[in-house]
Amino acid sequence: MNKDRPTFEQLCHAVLEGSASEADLEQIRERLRNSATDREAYYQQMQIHALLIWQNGRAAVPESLVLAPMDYSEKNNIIAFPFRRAVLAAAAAVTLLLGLAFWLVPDLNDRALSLAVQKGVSVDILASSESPYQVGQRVILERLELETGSLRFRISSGAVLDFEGPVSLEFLNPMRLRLERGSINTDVGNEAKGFVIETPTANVLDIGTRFGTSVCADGSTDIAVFEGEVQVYRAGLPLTQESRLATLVEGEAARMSARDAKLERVNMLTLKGGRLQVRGLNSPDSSVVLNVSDNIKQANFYRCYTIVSGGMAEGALASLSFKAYLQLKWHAIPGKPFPEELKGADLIGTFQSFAKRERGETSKNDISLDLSRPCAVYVLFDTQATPPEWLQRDFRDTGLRVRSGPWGKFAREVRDLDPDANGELNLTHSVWRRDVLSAATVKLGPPGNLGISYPYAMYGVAVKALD
Amino acid sequence: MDENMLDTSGPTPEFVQRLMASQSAMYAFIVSLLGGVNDADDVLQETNMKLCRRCALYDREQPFLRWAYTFARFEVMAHRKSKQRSRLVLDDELVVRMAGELEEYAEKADSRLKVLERCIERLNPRQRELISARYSRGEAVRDIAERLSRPENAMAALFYRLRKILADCVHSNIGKEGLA
Repeated sequence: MNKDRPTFEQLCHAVLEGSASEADLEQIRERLRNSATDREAYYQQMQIHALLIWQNGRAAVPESLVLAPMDYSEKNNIIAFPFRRAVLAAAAAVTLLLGLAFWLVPDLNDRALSLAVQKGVSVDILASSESPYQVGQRVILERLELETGSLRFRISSGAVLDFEGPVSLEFLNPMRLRLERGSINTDVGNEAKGFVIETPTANVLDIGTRFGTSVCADGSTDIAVFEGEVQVYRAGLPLTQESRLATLVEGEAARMSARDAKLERVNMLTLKGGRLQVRGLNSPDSSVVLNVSDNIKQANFYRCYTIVSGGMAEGALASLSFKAYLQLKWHAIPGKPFPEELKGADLIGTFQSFAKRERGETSKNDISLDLSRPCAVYVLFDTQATPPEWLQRDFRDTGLRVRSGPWGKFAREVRDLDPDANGELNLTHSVWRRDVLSAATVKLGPPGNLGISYPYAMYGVAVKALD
Repeated sequence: MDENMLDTSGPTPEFVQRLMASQSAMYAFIVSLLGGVNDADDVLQETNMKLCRRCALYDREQPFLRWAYTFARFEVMAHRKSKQRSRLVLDDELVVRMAGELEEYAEKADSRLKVLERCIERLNPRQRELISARYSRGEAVRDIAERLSRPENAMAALFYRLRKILADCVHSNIGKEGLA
């Protein structure tokens, strides 16, 4: 093959991404004219590309095809659960017919159509479980009460919301909603910067990010940022410099308490199934780890530990992304299975900046785990470093090894590392174990001995009940 | 098509149901003939309008999608005429030829979306994350490559392979129940 000629894969890529030059287009046309095999491959690529876009609600479905789960009216616009699918389908069909009437009756003007869609917010259903909606539907919502089940949808502004019951939401407009109870995860991408979530105690202004918001039973609001940043404001006030409480960036979490209206750090954030999502209020929490805390006393410090109940496995999230760090995950050593002993443990995500590097020294910080029952505590330690005294004293090296990665190539932790066969930078961790035979608080020390330069990774932690 | 043959009674619920069920397949058909998603939603809307206005022409004993594809093909051609000064991916001859070939695949095309969902579940976590980044979060392949410190060409090839895996999975499982 002529090295200067792009491959069919590259041509397809250029067409799909809209970056094809006129020369590229001429080449792909020539190939499609002359080769049935290339046409077949083109169909496959285009059709799957289109279906994936459709499935994720990124296709701009004609407004006239909007489906509502029930005949929409001022008095009857609360979505009750559960619905029967047959009723829903019939109602949807009737609504679609009403929409189609705009095409069929020429005298109906654009104003009538816009009035018909102004009352709620148009959303595309992306995923649904135990809800009356089906993937691919577009519905109009003004208010949503979900006791059980889960739903993911894209609002017409582009923001994607993901949640499970119980949750109570009011849709104020495509760029603003009110969360009255429950947890929601929001991904505004680049399209809905400026999206606002109101809660009883705070307003959260999104600046292009993914974040989770929970309104707890006492009315307090937890905010956790997974990518990008959000600004937190006092509830009930305009979004101004005066009402702004803090800016949170990825890897940070804070709570606006209902009692004293103060913003405070959230030490431990329970994630949903290892994904970058806050769990629903009724989702299972760790049955072993009651709390994770540390002795960091620093103003405006909001870094948090994450915990995923039973989440330790190949590909499990090791640490929340924070600025220069990618989303680090735990992996098996190449050619070996992931250690059976670790699988299913409750996984605690630590954060890399814990290994503070001011003046090139380690910090004096330690981590406390409040444990509710007999369990094995595992520390996953960077093998580049010398294990600190507390680790050698209280834990034993199991001989097991796992990897964390992929690390960004400019990360200080991997400056002496060569890329592996896949071109990725992964660190090897030794697995240390300590058995705790009753409910207790276990303290884990700093990752390195005091006073030494510490360009190594922060350790990971996992906890497994002893049954 | 006879522009004057408008239906005066309006689409029946059954027609609407078939139209709704065919939207994703019609969208994929239109995207294939346009050579991308730009303007595909406009063409789909025009096609829907034409289908509803001519719903009386539909023979309910015939496959709906194949009938709908014919309208979509005409709308693609009409759209091309209106965009003649813009850059078009395919030429007229290719569009006609490829539309004919795609129409052969119409059978069960409306169930592909459901099968595709199951096929995505079969991908490994890294593959699913890539699909999610590109199609759910809408990141460009170039940005994903940059974020993961991989060459764009390698990432493009990876996405090509992922779509191929999904296409093969959909093809092998379409019409089957209980895809695990």
